[in-house]
Amino acid sequence: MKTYNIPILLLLLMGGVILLVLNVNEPKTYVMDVNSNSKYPIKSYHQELQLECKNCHGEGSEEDYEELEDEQCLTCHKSKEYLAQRISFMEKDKTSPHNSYHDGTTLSCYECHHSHEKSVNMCADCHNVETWMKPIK
Amino acid sequence: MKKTIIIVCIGIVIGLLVSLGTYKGVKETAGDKFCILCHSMEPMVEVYKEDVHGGNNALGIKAKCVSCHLPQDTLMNYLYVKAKNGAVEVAITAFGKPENINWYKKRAHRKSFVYDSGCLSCHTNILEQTDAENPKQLEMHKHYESKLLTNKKLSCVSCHISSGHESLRNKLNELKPEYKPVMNVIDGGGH
Amino acid sequence: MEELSRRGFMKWGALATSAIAAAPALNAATLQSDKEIKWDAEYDVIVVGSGLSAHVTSIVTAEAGLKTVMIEKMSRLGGNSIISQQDFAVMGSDLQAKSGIKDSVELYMKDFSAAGKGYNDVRHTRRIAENSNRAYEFARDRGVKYGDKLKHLGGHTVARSLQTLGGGGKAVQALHKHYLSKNGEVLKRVKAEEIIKDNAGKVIGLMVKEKYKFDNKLQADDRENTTGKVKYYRAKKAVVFATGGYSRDKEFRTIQNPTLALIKTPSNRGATAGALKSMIKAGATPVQISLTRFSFGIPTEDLKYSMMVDANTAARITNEDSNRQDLSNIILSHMLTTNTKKYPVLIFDAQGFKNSHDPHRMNKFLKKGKIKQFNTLKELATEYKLPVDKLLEEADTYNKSIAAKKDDKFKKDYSKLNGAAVQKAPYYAIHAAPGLSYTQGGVQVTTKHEVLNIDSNKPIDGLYAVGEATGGVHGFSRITSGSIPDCMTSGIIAGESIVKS
Repeated sequence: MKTYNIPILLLLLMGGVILLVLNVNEPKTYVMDVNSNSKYPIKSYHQELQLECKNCHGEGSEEDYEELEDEQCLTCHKSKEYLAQRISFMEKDKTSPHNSYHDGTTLSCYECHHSHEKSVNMCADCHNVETWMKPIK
Repeated sequence: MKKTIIIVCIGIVIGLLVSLGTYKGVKETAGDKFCILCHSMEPMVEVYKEDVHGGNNALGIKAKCVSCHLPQDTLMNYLYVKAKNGAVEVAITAFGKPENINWYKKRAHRKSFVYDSGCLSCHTNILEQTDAENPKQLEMHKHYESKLLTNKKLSCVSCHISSGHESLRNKLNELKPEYKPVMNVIDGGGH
Repeated sequence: MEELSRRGFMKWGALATSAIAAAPALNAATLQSDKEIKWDAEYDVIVVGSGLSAHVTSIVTAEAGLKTVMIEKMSRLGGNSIISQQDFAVMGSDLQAKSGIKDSVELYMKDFSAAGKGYNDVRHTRRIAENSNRAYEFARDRGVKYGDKLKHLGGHTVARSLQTLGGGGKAVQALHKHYLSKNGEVLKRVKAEEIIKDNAGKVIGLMVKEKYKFDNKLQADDRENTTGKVKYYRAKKAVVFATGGYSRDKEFRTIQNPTLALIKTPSNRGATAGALKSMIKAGATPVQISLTRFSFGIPTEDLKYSMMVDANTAARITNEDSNRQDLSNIILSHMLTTNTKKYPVLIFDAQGFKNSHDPHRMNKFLKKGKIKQFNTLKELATEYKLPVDKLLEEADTYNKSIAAKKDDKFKKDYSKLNGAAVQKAPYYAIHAAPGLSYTQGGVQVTTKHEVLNIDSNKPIDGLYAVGEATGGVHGFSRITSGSIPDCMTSGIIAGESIVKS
């Protein structure tokens, strides 16, 4: 073994490691592109997906935009039964808003959820919900 | 000359053994049986088994834990993340307090531990589809594609939140309930 | 304009009159001609509302093959019916037979009339008594599930109240499913605005607003809400108003009784007076609009064991040995005259609490925090922000008067107290907040549930009203578990009347 082999080996090793590092698919934290339509701001969870107006309201001019029907929300959010299933842990104490004691799974999305303004917890109209519900985003 | 041949042969045998060992090692640490060795993974594996990705389908096909939770784009990537995660996870389990981990919070960073290359390694043609039962699917996948080459990539799990672990939140609530409901009465509304 | 001649005046007058006549239909109570209207939809029967009464009526007409639609102004079906527990007083049910309980129409009517205090129209009381069992079987046969134990509720001489399993939510859901299976239609966010009559005065349809968006933030939604598109629905056989009460219409109920500005209500957001007003404008006779039925939480029989004090002065207000109705009226008028929005505080001591007729309910309230427990009166006073010294003074006076067996202040009969006072710790307290979820008032109807015209006292052809929307049925107060039999029997009878007509 010649003495200059060792530094060469080390260089190769280093090179290998550098290549490895560059290849690693580390998730970058990126700045979100906010859909900053200040008249109709959208919620953070829809912003994160960088949704545009037309993704919900369809092609067409903005003046013609109408409030969505439940069915349109459900083109992404699947079905009311599925939404109930996702929080079925709340059914044990009959506190699930998506499968409620009074309404089953029949409530309209808009009873609570609003896209362009603050959401409202309809259950809080009558019940003290602090211990069994988070504020609706 | 003879010495060289012997050294080379021994080298080959050792090389084969090492590579076989490495291969086996990598393979055996890829399945749910290994991942579940850590107690904290129990709820995830339980719901995975009920999920369509965990064998609950007509064909009995399963996606391995690593298929989604390690990058599937290059071998180097895969091995690097596997080794790194492995070391970190073992350290936490051995020296830390895994029972204190807040899994609800972890789910919010799902983008950092569920790799698109994983999803796409099985769902190879999903982005090229032109026909779908739900037209929204095509629209959203086009949307995803349009962001791929930007610095604001979306992730499959940005939308497909509970793929692989459907009902995980329900399962986690069995162990660490999010709420302590105090059964309450109508306080009259006040209107 | 000194030069305005008579001719000029006539000319201006004529112009003005024709301008008013040409004004949109919204300003007229009813349109007068069938021919001029372009109907957007045609039905045999339009039922306004989607609660229990609405469902029962609609089921009867739908089962008879009539094209029926239920229109609901809210996006949420069911009104107060889905919130209600739906205890159901039935005369002569199979459960009574099984338990060997002897009941009769006369006894049932007696109990209802005791609550009604003579304000109730006994023809309707009889209607409920005679048909309650038929209604029970009607509902049971269409999917509503009942418990197998009868409840013996306050005001009833015998146990006769059925328990609806899953409450109103499940009951209405079951009936709804049945209704849809009989080709019944239902439209949400459609509000009935005006009743339309033909030249002969027969109700032929409704002017409605589609895609109506109820706004909870408005003070008077019926008047101020401008959403929705005007449409005209033809009703070939009948229009039925099953529109419930107006307990959540602060403006209207305060007009009827100013103290009602102070009540709390658990009613659904849609319980406003708009439908009642539409019927009155079409000539219906309003009956007992200011009567209200309060709920309290604490069983009526337990009230006497408490000491009730003003929230600001900690002084006793009245004789606590009273029924919910009278006590609520006293509390509210007291709050109005003392200009406070704070409800009085009811205080029980250990013995008073122990005396309760429904310890299960009291303990439930305790667990839920509606009733609070304290070791000392001082702690109680702090929690409820009562003046401590005044409270201790008042408790002392009260206790002394109990010992002396004489209530100088309010003439309470202390012999009934069974040891209750404000002496033994722990102490329990609850706000005495009268809740309003039912309005007895409404429109006058015949025993066939035809709405009567205020002038002729004859039925308005084609117009019916059922359930809470009717008036004069229950009277001064409504007996507990008495609304459900009313809703159901009225729905069945109205539906059958329509089918036969």
